Amino acid sequence: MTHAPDQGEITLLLHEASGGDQDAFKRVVTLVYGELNALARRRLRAEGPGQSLNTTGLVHEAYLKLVDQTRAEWRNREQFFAIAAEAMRRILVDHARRRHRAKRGGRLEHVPLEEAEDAPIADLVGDADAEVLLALDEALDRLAAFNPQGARIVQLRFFGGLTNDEAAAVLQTSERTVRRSWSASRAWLRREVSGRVDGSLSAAFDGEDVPD
Amino acid sequence: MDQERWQRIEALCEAAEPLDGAARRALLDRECATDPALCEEVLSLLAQLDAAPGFLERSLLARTTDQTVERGGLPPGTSIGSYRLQRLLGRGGMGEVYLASRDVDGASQAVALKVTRRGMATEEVLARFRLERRILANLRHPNVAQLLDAGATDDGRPYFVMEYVEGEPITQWCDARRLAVAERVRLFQAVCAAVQHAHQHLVVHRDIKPRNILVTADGTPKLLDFGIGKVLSATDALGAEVDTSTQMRLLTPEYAAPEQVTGAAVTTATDVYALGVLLYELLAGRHPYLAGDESRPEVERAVLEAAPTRPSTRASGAGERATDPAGLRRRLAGDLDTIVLMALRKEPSRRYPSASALAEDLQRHLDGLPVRARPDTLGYRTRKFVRRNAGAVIGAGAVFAALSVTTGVTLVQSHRVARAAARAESERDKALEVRGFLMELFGATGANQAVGDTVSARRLLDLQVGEARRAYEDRPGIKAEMLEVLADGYDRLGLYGEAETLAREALALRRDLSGPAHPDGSQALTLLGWILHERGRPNDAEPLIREAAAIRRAAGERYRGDLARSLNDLGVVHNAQTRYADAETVLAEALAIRRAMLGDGHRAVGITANNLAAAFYFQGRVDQAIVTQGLALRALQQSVGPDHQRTVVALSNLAAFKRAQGDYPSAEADYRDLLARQARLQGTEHPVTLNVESSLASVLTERGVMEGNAAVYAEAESLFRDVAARFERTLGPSHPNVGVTQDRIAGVLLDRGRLNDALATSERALAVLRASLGEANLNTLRAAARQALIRWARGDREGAIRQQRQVVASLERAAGASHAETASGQQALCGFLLSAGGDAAEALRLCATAERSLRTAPAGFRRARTVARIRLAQAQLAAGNGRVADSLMAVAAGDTLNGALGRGDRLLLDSLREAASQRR
Repeated sequence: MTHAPDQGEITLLLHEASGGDQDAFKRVVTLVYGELNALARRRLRAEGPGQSLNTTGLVHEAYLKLVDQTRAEWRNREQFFAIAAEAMRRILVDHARRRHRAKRGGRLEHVPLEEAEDAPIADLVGDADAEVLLALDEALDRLAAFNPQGARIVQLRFFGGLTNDEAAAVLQTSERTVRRSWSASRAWLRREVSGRVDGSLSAAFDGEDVPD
Repeated sequence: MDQERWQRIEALCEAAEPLDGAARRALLDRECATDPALCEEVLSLLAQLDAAPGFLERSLLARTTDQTVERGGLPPGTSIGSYRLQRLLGRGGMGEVYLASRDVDGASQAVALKVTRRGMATEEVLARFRLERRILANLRHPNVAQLLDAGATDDGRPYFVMEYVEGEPITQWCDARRLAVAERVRLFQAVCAAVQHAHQHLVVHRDIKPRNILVTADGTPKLLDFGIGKVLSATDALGAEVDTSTQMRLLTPEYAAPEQVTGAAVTTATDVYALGVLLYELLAGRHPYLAGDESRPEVERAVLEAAPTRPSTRASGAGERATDPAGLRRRLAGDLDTIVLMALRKEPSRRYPSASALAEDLQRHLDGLPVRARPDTLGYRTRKFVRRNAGAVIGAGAVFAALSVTTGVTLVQSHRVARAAARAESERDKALEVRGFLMELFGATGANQAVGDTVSARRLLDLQVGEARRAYEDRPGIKAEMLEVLADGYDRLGLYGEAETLAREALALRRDLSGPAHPDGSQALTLLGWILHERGRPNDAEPLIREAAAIRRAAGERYRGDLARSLNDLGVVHNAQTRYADAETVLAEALAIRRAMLGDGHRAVGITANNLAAAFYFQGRVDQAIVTQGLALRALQQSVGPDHQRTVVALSNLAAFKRAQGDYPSAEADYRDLLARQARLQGTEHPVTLNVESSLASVLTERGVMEGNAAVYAEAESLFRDVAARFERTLGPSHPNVGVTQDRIAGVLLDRGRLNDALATSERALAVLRASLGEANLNTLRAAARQALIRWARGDREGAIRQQRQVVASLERAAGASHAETASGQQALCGFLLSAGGDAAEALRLCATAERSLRTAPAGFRRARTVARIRLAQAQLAAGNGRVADSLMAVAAGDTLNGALGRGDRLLLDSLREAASQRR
């Protein structure tokens, strides 16, 4: 596990990242990654069944913990959320890779939550999801080549758990623009992913509950 | 692709997405006439959105954590038993359903696997569950999704494996294909056939609703989840007794029958009702009385009270039924209206007797023959109901009377009253009730015999016993399980001898199998103990239940829920043994375990808290009883709801405690609340309603005594007269309840000084009670004692003393020399003798005995105890023992500070102290 990040350190990094320092951005994402990972694990342990763990709540908690509020000179809070979404994406994709490898190796370890001290939170992603997730991650990179804004919106919404309004604030654009880009971008992504994943697309990503 | 082109695509998608096919095409043709490739690209993207409008809509982390943490879900690939989960199909109130597969002879078989959400299954519950599974596996019908397997996950959650059915909910399927009414009726008949098949195999579905009936691509309807509702309630049964009442909270209230809402017995008629709701929706396109936006309490209320309107008057969706609105109305009016409403009747016994009877009546309608259903007549309902339950009234009366005088009723007793009520119903209804019970417990194991209405429950049980012994001779574990269930069955029929024999046999089998200290045997011990308790042999029951508790305690953490159950039962037995302090100890532990495991809102917590409150109450610790009863009431309100029978009884206990405490205003408020609720739920002529009203009037009388308040007396009198009139109307003039109520009227008249009326009313009361209950009955003797008081007040001292002597002699014989009732009678006689200057030695002896008996009497006798002290003081004073009298008066004065005395009593005490000081 990473060392506990110092509030002053991360605030400074955020400041540099907002000024366009790519190196600072990467370092802050790494720090946020560690923190989110740890937070999510703790929450999953502390809260029994029946509690939902939403990304937004997690990100807010990480924000309050990581950023020295008295010295938060950076533009606004949303920037942190954008970084958190990036961190989330890495967390989940890293996990999906591990999961995918494990599956190919024919071995699946199901670690009970209580004991999963160092298991990444994304141990919660299932096998079927993992494959789609990896395809999605790659497709997202391709999308960014001609539609960087759409790719960021997907990252903020799907990985960061932000709403259209919140994403619009991060990107300093209108909610309608976000909505428009969101629709077309995920249609494009779905087509890409369907082509690359064997069989039909995991229904789970379609976000529909089938009646029992 | 470049950014500019993408911008254009986004804009076109936004514009075209809301449009449907032709309009969309037209727009795109117009917009990209020069660039057909752009048009195709947009159409291709829109097709993706159309296919999955929710794609990526939910944040990934929210999704995965919901699934695992909130849903208690399992990742694909997880193995359960010999099944491997593929993906989540959906989730409902009870748990999740997965598509799963199992390898059979090299081929992969797709199944639906349902894992329950609740992790609270105790070992005892799991044992019952295994039995149910065997029963359900015997259902084989083309319209029933076959139960293939069941078991428990490593963490103890039950799961079921069913045939995987791909289809649409029946209502949706019919609408999508614009099925006409006749076609819908025919499809519905197939559903009836499936339900009938299950009923013949003694399985009740309990949760029939459109989402549980899927129609496959070839048009075959399939019923899912047969019998699972029952098993799921059992997994929650941490209750004080084996509880067959439905766990309403688990069910879909929109399709629940009234008896499921109130917790009454669930029978085949319950499924007939749900079929009625389904048929209503299939025909009229809406629910019989709900609009869909009601809160849960509103829904439950509507289920109990709302009269469904004829489907023809509310029909919608004519287009989906291949007709026009007027045509649909005409099509439904008449036969179909009548048939649907008959299935939907509130009283189970007045619905169609079976699913096949419903299907047959529909067939008569389709064939143009006259149908059997008849429209309901107004006023039939209440009259009929009360008459059918007439036998139950004494039981219920006894409960509430007991509440008012001696005890806090425990829920266990109320359960017995409910059973008595069921037993009191007509032979046919009884057969139905018992069959319903059997259906819950047994399946088709050997019951290939047609089970007509005439087959007696007894015979069915006997057959099952023979079957269990034969079929499981070489499998003693299963045999023991079967015998345990059958013992329970006999117990419910009141056939305690048979129940005891079977329970002992099961216990012996268990011990042979796994030794005396193994937890498996603790269930048979518990059962046998409970049967003995119910047979009124608490001293025989105690060691068995105690042993079960010890075994479970030693078995460790996993059996903690079972341990709590044993401790609860032990507490109930101790209460019956009048060992209230011991009861308190074990019930307090049971309550602590249950609160920690289940939280304060659980039904089991409510039950144990109720029993603990009774233990406090019997020890005279009324304050603690009230606090604990408050906990019980909240738990029950949260778990089974405010209108459930258990909650109603708990509230009435609380009111009784407050009454015993002398908190009349608060008790009065509770009774008024209870009365309003009862009247709404069960009508003003329901026996329980009348008993509550009677309790309210009694509280008012007590307030009148305490406050000397004439207005309160007047209300009490008018309430009692109302109650008496309704008892007379519904039960006939010679029913004991009429006598008991008239006796209470006589009491109010006495208090109001209308002595001639009082005597005449008392004569009538006594005549009714003597004729119906006999001379030696407690109710008769109370009325006789009241009459003695009236005679005394009228100046007929000799008559009063003579009558009271007889009462005391009878009480000594009937209730025992030191019973609190006897003591009350002795104390009254002592008062007469002292005032009349009669035999001073006899008076002293009577009062001394009474005072001694009343020292340990329940809280309801507080006033009697204090009055006995004053009388004894008076007697001691008369006998020249001034110092003893002083002590007694000091104690009595202390009692009065606690509000244990009425105005008249206080005057007597004051005059006595005056006399004592003068004498000195």
